[in-house]
Amino acid sequence: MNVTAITQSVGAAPVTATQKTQDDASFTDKISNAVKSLDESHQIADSFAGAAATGDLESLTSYVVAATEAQLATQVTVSVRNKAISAFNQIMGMNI
Amino acid sequence: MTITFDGISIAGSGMQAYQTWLDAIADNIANINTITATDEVPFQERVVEVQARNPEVGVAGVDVVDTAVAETDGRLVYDPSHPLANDDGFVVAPSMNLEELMTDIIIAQRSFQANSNVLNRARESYERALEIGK
Repeated sequence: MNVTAITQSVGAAPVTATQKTQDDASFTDKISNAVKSLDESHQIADSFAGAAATGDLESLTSYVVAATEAQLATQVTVSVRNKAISAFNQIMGMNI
Repeated sequence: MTITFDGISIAGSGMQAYQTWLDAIADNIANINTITATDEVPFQERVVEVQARNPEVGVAGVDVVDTAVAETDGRLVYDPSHPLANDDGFVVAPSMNLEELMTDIIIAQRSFQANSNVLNRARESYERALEIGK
């Protein structure tokens, strides 16, 4: 059996310190954009909830999908925010 | 930045498609005994046309293109006592058979459940990903 050597490293390329994100948007912009898109997904889910309450809901599936996506988006945003806060707190607690 | 959860919306599109199919089968079963006169158009079986989404354009999944009717001539049934019977004593019954519809409804139900399971698994996976580093 001829096993060729693995020349390329498996998985994503390691992140180097000099590597920059593709856009130069600040962290604040990114967070506010994320919150905006989160708000949008919640508005979609809310409109479906309203339609369900009034009996205008055409597709139950789209409501479930929108609600699940909104829930997950919230969890993602909250955990990013928590990570950012904990990083900030670690820097604040640094001994000088 | 938009947060997308493709697995969930793909499974959702599948659920939508099978829901439509279930509705179509329900309509067919409801009309399985709908008898018509020989000079009328017999009940036309509802069929669902679906098409795979192109993953190169947007999110993959499946779309219901159309809920069409299968053009069938129906089945001649001899029933002279029927009020709709013609001079020779014939009426027209839909050309569907219940056995086929019942197997179809099982397929549709199981496929719906499969997609619903995929949705749940995708949600669990995304939630598990958020546990990383906690």
